[in-house]
Amino acid sequence: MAGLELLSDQGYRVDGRRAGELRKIQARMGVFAQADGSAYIEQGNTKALAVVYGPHEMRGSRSRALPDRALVNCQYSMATFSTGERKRRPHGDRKACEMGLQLRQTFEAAILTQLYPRSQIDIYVQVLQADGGNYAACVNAATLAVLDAGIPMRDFVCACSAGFVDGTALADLSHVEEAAGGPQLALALLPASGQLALLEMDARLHEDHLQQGTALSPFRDGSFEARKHRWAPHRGRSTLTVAVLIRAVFEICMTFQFKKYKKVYRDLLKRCQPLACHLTHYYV
Amino acid sequence: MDILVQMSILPLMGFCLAVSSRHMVSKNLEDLRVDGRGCEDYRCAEVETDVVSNTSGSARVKLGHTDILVGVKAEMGTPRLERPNEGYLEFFVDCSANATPEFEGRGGDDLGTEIANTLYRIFNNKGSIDLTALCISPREHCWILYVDVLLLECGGNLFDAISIAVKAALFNTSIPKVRVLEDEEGTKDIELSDDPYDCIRLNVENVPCIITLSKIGYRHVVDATLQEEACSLASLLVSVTSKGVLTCMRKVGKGSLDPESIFEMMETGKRVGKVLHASLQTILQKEENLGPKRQKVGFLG
Repeated sequence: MAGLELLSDQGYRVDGRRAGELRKIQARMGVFAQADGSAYIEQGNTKALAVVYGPHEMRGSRSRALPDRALVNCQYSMATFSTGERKRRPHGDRKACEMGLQLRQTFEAAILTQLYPRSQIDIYVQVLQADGGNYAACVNAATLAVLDAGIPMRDFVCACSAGFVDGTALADLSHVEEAAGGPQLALALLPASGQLALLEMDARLHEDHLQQGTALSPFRDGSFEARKHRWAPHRGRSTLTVAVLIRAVFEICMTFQFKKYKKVYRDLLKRCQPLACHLTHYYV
Repeated sequence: MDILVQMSILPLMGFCLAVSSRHMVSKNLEDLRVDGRGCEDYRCAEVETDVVSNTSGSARVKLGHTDILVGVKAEMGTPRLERPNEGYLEFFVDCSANATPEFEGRGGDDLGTEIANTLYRIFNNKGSIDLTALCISPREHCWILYVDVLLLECGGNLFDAISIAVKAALFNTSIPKVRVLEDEEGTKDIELSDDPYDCIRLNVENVPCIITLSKIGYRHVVDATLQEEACSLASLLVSVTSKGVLTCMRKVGKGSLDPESIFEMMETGKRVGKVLHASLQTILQKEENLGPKRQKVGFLG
């Protein structure tokens, strides 16, 4: 986009944020009464709803049932009025199919699917207003919805997007920054183990800016608390996209874990661990 | 009986629209429904407008467990050939999988088309909305209002909730003012106003609302829940304006209706419709008067 300065000399972005700063995140769990789990999230102007049904018996053809674990079924759709220009179809287009597939892969990595053989878990996400980072918002909403449904997970998934402008990495891109067409990275993380559930990069980015080894190493050693302290105070400009991204994701998961959802998460862990032990005994 | 009246006006967060007609609560207990309502009582409804900021107008309506989000987007297009001086409305209903897993993929398309067609039908008369206001230059440019309904949760009485939400969203809609400039060679240029507050609002006074009357046994009830819908064999769907004028009528459901009961139901529909319109209008006006200072609740509330 010509003439638009994405990052000012003073280091501020179009919407007044610093390079590594996130937009305001607000979330709510248990929005709907009829679904098994539901959540709503706002990341700046991006708004997403997620609903979880299950685990339940297989719907439709039973031949799809997996003998050793649950099938995670995802649908990603965008409200026709969510984008700047009206969309013709809410779902079923290529983009939505791809997003659905990615969501499925992300959550298959996180949910303890082996606890529910021959059953199905439905995750439906809906973008109500799209302003950049749609996928990340959907993953975050879906995580909260799965938590709300009480489905045991290895760890909760957090996602964020990042971009790269004039030698500086920007966290949590807005629509304007996305539309400018620079390199983009999306990342979903299992924060406690530091594992990546999704990593995707569009466009070209020099390897030096990624710096995978150094950026990821803090997650390989030390406890969650130690890592939190190591990452939280560091807020300057950075050229390491992944580092910025991971810090951003980390900030999101801290919002979840240390504010409202701490208790929910602890309860969930307490609840699902004996269950997991019990089931392993049963099946082994 | 006073206790029962109060029960139907539960105080809720956000804006509360409680339609309950005191004289309707019958003298004998046989007329009461499972949730304590009388036959002509609505559940408590929540209405909030301007929920999605990138639309021209939007509204969210929660009627019991039924949850509807409507977004109106104004786009420029060419008028229809048979009506060169008018803009037009396009309806689309998305029955998302959020509401029930059966709607996954193409599962909700049938219901969506049915509801959209009903909406087309109730707006298919000159009185309901002034379409000439949407015309920019005859035969060439007009505003097309895309009214997109998103069904988020299904708790019975979809048609009524959707029509309330559509009316609220149209009330909230603001369309930017445009001017047509013509130079010497006759080429026309469209100029959009710079001021974002310089816009036209629609007059929704005559926009009808749908009242669904479900026949249960020998009686008919308004605002049936999912359970009541399952008990009802047939229902009559009437669309009523704020003056109590009937603009459209349809029988839905697999059962049949006695002609005499249809007249009774029409009368009830008109009576309930008038009350519904009155309370909706006051609520919308109240919310509008709060202006931009209003604290938006949305889905976080």
